[in-house]
Amino acid sequence: MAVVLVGAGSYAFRVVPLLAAGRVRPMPAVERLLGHVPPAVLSALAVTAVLRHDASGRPHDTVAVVVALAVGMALAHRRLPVVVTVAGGIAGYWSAALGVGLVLG
Amino acid sequence: MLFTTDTPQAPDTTDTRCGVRREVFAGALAMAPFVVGYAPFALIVGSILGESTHTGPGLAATWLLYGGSVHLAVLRLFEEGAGLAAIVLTGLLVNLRLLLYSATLAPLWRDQRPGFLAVAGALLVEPSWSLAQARHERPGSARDRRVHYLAAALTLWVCWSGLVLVGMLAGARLSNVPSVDLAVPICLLAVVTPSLRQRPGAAAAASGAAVAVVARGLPAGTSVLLAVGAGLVAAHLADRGTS
Repeated sequence: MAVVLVGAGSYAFRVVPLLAAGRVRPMPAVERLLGHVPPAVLSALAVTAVLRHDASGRPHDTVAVVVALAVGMALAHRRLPVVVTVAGGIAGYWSAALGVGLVLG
Repeated sequence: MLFTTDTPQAPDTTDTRCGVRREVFAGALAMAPFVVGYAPFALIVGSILGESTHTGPGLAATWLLYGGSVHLAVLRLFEEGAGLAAIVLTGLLVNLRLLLYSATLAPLWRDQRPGFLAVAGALLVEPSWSLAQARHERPGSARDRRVHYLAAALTLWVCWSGLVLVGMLAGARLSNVPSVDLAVPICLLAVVTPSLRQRPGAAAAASGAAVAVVARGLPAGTSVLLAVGAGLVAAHLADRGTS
């Protein structure tokens, strides 16, 4: 019962604004504000995912994570496809982890 | 006023089929890194579900709730013996952010059919939402965007469901894949980076990130809602400062 109720409520959250948009047009100011929701949410989700990243057992992980994110952002800034951005970021992570590990022993 | 039409006046069926195939491939490919990134999360949800004493409702939640955070929250409350009201309120709080996602897509999909919106809404989660935003930035018809979204969202839906089932059957040991979880934040940064070129977008992103760090101890989903509030205030102030 609880799962059905949460599912019904969640579906309403997902669909009602989409279906209502054809009939009710938000004020331009509201529409403009909604345009700023994606960067706020995406950056918050990215930070949350980084904080959830499991660093146990891997030395110098913080530096490697920072390098991975920097490489990813640099590639994204050049408007490369997401797959390339992720592959570059992960490659940056492993390179940095290896490099720092070799330098610091 | 100009309206986008779904089909050209003299449609070439070969071009149409190629266009659909191209969008299906592009949508599925764009979702692939998210699938890789979310795989450990899906396996963890599945392994917890496998150990749960509420396997039936927990499994149904995979499709009825369709979201890792809300699924885990509901499973945890089931195990703690929480009441109906507590489970429903918590679940709805965690998923309240979906209202914002839907509201931000509504202006972009104003010319889409109600049937599509009903299906698209059911598949709406962070990755599909972010890819819909990214696809809107590129040229294409309403049909192109519809096909791209459905291909991407269904790819995630199928893979997520499969991985939860695998996790349920195989246990937690499958989720120990090093550094793969970093694919998710890199994917998200790839989508958010273009908006950093403008001051309000950069202000919203910086505020959202800062609030997410400060509010990380709060229940799942709450930090995102607070990040949205902070981001909107920061973007509004930056917007006023710019103009």
